[in-house]
Amino acid sequence: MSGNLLELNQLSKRFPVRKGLFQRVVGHVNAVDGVDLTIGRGEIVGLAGESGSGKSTVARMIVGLLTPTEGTVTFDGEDVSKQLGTLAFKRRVQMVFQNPGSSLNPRRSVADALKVPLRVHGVPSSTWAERIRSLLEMVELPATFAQKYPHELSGGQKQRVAIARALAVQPELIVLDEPTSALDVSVQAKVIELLLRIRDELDLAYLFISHDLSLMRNFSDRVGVMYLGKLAEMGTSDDLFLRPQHPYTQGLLASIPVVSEAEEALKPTQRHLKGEIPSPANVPSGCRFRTRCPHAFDACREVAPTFHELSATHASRCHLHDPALAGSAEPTKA
Amino acid sequence: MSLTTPRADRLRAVRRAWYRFRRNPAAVVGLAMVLLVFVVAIFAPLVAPFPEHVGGFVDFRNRHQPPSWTHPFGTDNAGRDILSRVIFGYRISLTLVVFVLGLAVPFGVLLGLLAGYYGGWVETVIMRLTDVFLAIPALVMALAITAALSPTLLNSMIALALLWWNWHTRLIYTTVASLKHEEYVEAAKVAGASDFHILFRELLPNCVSVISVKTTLDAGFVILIGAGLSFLGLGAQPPTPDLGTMVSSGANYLPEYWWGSIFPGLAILFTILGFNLLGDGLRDLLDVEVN
Repeated sequence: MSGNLLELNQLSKRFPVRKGLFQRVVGHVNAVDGVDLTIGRGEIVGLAGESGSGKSTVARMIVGLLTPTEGTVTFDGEDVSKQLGTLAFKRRVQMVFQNPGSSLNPRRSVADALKVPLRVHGVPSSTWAERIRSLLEMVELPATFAQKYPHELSGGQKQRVAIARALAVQPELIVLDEPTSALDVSVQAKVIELLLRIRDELDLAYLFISHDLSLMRNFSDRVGVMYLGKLAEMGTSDDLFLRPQHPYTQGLLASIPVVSEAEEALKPTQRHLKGEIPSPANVPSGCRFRTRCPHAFDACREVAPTFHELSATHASRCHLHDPALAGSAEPTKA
Repeated sequence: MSLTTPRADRLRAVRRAWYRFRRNPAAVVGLAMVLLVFVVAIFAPLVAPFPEHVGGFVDFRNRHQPPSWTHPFGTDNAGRDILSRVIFGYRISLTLVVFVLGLAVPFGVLLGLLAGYYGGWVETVIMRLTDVFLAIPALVMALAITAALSPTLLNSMIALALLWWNWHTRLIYTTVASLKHEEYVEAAKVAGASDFHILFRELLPNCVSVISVKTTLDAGFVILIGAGLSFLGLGAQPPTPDLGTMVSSGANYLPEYWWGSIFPGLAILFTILGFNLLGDGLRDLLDVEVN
């Protein structure tokens, strides 16, 4: 895995909390707090976590919709932290949004939507018609769709158009922010198939943001689980889903609804997560997961855990992996 | 499903919209009234029975004639045909509407787009400015402006335009402030689109329905306030056949020669009613379209 396409290094986003008549800054929300992540060429990396975990904020920083407070972003070996919003960088990284209903302008046709990136990035207008046709073909839509308006399309068709728009500038990385969560299950499967096919054809990398863990299991090569702005566990899809080590990952997996007893048997023997994710404005001391962790012990209150390498591909941020600290606390079983 | 051509699709959409519009009788009546006023005003010299009565024409033998077949609206204190003068009066009213809204709407919409999209100090400056203008009653302000300048039609048009933009600014500001968080705006940003593109290609088309409804409803009020100004002697000066001026000069001879005020007054009512019915109809129509 030499030569990563994208490397996030201690990426953080702090939002100021303003209050009162003069909008005084009274505190900060650490939406993303020191995230390290790599994506290789052609790789699909998933980011999972509950709402409020900061996974969308990571996505929005990468595409330049938000400016990181700290940390660096390296793209293709080059530090691009200062160029996140620039045209040159936008040509290489694109995004597909969550809600196909609102990611297309209701007043503009499919062709209009696809022309925006072509015009901005200086593609000669004589070739637009041909490009639009081939983009629509790539997402398996007939060329006649170019003249249609969003209200004439189904959710799945809209999302295909949104994918075509992201592909228009021939990017190397596409950030997929819950691209299928607003779609029917049957449509979901087709969009995922399409995304996999396009990845193989164009050798794209995806950063896939989702709270749908079963989808993530099938789609992603590697998966990171985020909790309150920090990565809790990171590993290959198999590492995470077959051998989850962090109590939070175990809890998340236990809460996936299943259809058969055979599947039920595969799930970790772990109680469901209790309670709600705390507010990122008021992060618990020590380990930020301790308020909901079934294994929490004294050290968790005082010391923030660091990543423990469990294998070459698998790391988990939990004191249970530290024999010196865990002491009497029994290690968790997968 | 996609057996039809895009052109046929669009034609069908237009026909569907027209069908929905036609099912609202009030809106159809409003459209007919507005069209009638426009046609009559444009072809005034052909439509008016006595086009020569419009200027400084005087015929004292025929002054204060009651309504008859020759003079359906009667004659005024100088013996001029009131119907002819009402028809020419519509020209003034419509010029006023086009001039005032033609200046105020684009300006107000532009400021609303900027305030809504950029927020921050741009929003603070623009929106506080609209508050200042909203705090002053429109008619009082128009009186002050026309009195400070000189009472001519042009000055009253300028005064009204100065008072009108802020309503559109507020309307577009609230619309844009909610639209700018739509994913299609963010998608355009991610694609690298300029602010100009986002403001005028992504946001403005989504404001067109509110702007057109508001502008249609405004047309009636502009005519009303314009007539109010000229009633007070601050608009078009005699012998120009302005509806407000006619109501005012006819009022001197009430109640005996009632037709001198009543018919120009009814003519004002007719246009305002037309624009309002049409505006309400458009609003119903476009709300359906948007949802």
